[in-house]
Amino acid sequence: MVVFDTSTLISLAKIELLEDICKEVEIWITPEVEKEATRKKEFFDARFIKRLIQEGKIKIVKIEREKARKLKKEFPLGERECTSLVLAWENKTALATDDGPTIKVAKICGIPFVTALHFLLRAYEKGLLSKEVALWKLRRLEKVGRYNSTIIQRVRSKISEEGEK
Amino acid sequence: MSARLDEEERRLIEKLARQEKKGKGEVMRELIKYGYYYLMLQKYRKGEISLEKLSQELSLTISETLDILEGLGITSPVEYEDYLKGSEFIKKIF
Repeated sequence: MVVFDTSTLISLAKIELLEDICKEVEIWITPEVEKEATRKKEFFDARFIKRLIQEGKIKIVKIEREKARKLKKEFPLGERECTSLVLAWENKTALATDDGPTIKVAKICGIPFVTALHFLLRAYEKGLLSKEVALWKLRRLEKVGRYNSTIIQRVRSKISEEGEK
Repeated sequence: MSARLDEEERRLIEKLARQEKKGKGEVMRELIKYGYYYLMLQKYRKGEISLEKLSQELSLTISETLDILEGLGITSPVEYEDYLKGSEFIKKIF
């Protein structure tokens, strides 16, 4: 099981990889993340995430908001980001986030973290995506996630150099 | 609230008001807003504020904020070291 923050949830929805990940990994989000990710119903990613929640592929798990508020007082994060950190910490699991400051706090709290890019690369390594599709999604995620060029080059060469899955 | 502007600031406002065919007051208000947004985007780029804080400051959803950041080509503050650390964890969960 992995706790997803809004940033990674939406990024994976935007590159149409979220559903593939849901089949392999149990995804937990807080009600605060659900509310934000599905707020604009006219958005493709919001409708997509809503459907996955309705189908039970993404689980909504509550935390005590007071704990998130306490964390928010200590770090320059939003309350929603803090709810994801608390949920991951309480369940001793990893947090999926593409937010730099949230990653910093995860490091301080000893919470393992991954980004949307890790899911893309791993999906390719596990043979869930062909090389062509993985490279296409990487181009899309490069724009959505705006990772620095060193990270993108590293992932691109990993996908390009490996044989077809 | 009132503010004293120097000669250069007045020149910029007058120039933009002429170009945009708008009143000086309207141009000034817009510039303050854009300046504030620019400052927040810079803070995000440097990793001083989170994505949620940025979206609140811009009065946008996270999805809209990601689209704006993509359009402006603002690099995420996720570092290479973070990528390497994440690479260790992903194999344990997926």
